[in-house]
Amino acid sequence: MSEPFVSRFEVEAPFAHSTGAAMGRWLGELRARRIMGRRCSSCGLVVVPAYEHCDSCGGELGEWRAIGPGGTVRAVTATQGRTLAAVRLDGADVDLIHVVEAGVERGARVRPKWTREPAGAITDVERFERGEPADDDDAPGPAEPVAFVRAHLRLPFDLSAGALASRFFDGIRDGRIHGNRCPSCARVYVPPRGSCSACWVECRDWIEVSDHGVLETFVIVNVPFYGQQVEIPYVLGSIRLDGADSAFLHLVAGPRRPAIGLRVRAVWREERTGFLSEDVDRFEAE
Amino acid sequence: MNRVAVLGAGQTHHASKRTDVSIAGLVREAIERALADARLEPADLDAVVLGTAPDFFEGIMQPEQWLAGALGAVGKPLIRMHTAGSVGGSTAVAAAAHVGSGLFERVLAIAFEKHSESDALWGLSPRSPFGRAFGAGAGAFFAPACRLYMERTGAPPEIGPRLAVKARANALRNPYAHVRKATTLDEVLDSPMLWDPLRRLECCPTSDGAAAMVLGSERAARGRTDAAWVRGAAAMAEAAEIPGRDLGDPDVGRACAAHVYRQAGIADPARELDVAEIYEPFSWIEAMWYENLGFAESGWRFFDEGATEPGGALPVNPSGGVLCTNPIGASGMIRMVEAAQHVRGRIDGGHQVDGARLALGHAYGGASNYVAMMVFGSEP
Repeated sequence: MSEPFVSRFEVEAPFAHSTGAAMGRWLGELRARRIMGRRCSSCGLVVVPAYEHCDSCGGELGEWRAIGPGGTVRAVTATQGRTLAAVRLDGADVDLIHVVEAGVERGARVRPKWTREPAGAITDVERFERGEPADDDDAPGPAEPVAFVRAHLRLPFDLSAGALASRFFDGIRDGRIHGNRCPSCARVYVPPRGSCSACWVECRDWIEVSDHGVLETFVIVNVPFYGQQVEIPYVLGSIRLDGADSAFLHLVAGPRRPAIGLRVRAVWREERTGFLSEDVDRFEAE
Repeated sequence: MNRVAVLGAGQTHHASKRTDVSIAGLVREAIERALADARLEPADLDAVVLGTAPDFFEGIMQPEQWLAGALGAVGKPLIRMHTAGSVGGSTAVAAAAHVGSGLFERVLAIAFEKHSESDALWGLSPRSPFGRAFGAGAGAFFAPACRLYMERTGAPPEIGPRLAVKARANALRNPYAHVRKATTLDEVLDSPMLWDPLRRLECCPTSDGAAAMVLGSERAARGRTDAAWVRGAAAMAEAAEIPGRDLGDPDVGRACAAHVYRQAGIADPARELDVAEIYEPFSWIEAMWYENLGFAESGWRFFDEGATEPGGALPVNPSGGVLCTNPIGASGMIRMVEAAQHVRGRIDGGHQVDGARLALGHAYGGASNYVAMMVFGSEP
């Protein structure tokens, strides 16, 4: 048996987080180079950033007021080449966590260094640096609320298929489809499974099944979405191969209209990856 | 287990995009309504149970941590539930178990989804690390089961579209519903096939919304005349991959229903329940659940006879159901909120079932391998 197969793949998608009235205004003020705080109607703390609620007591936030922009470093740490600090802005009762100039120590007075092209994001403050804020070297403009915070997440994974699936892939590369049998209920799983979920016993018998089978049921997919890998419309069938008890989903195409109970056969591609979803291009009527 | 009461419940106004609020603002809207309904303050709560779909749906990792302040949960026990689409239901069941254990007097259950922050169909169509991914949302998963049901029962093809018409007519009376539009049978039939045999108007929307419940002990409910009582509650799971499972009639659904009916002393649910709120993201699924939940031998005939229309023997989904409002993580809890409010006589809007004394809330998820159910009574 070859080494277990490891798949490198990535989950990724765009997101648009709506800010709501409070965070939308807070980010808008930031874009206009003003750091705003909000006083909690319940506990009286002046908090920053300003959500709809007080993160300390859960109460409603009320009055808005400009805070800072100067502040005092209350705690500091260095990580991955950057220095992070808890900055207590003048007039606030909670700390804002942000990047600070390297070498800044606890107790230091700091002021924001604004980015040249503010976008309505926390990064409009590039970092806090040593010193007191200048009187007004760059007058704040009017604030327009920010509606969305946009992000594109990318999460790469190295997923090991394990010995069982790797052996299944080896068979697919040879154009052969395998399953395994539960020693208790005798059901045959295709693709194979480590254990029978119904009986809670290990499946051991390795058996080859046919690449012909029956279309148990199907759907015609005609809806687009982000990241879709098959061109719509397409027929997605639940296919149970001869000799198997379990069914799997695969594409069904060909001249015959799909119907429940239709006899189908695998149409193999020349080029092989070991994946049933790739090496079998589709199922067609026999 | 000790007795558990519903002291209050609430939900947001649901819409395709609630861009007027952040996620924190959305959950607070539901919580504030539930607390006001319960005549309680955040400080009165002893623990919080939060439910939502996987983090990919909003792209925020561990939202329960980020939301602790918004939930009023700072310094309190806070746990997060996830059981696929049934999560709103299982979150309410877990909160009831907290109170029933005797360890907590008042527990907040909160569930939410802000679908507009990403592509919901992307979230429901995981890509495969081993080749092509064919999945295309929940519709691609459940439409084949609907096709099998139609074939097996020989039900008239218009049953599904007529169920969609019922849902949309009911939602007109529900001020919180997302889709509130009078819809004719022809409009449903003329809508395009999205997941053939399911047409667009036979499929749930994607919504932004949240729902919340305040559950309390017998002591916390003392002196209250408007509490609903949890007469039965269970969340169950089974293996999704067992060959031959019917996604439209899973064993776990029948087992869970039998369990909560036994807890509630119900022998004949169709006769004894006054109203049911069940999880029907697709039209035909509703008829299939009638059978799985033991309402009738033939689900489509039960509907065809008018039993589940408003004023029928067992009105089902007078709110308009998931077909008209679907913030996935919250959809199960909305079923529980609606069911509880019916027996409290506190339904907002025109869909109150007058004099309801016994109501079922139901949710399912995954490959129909997760279910959560609760029976609420006007008496303990």
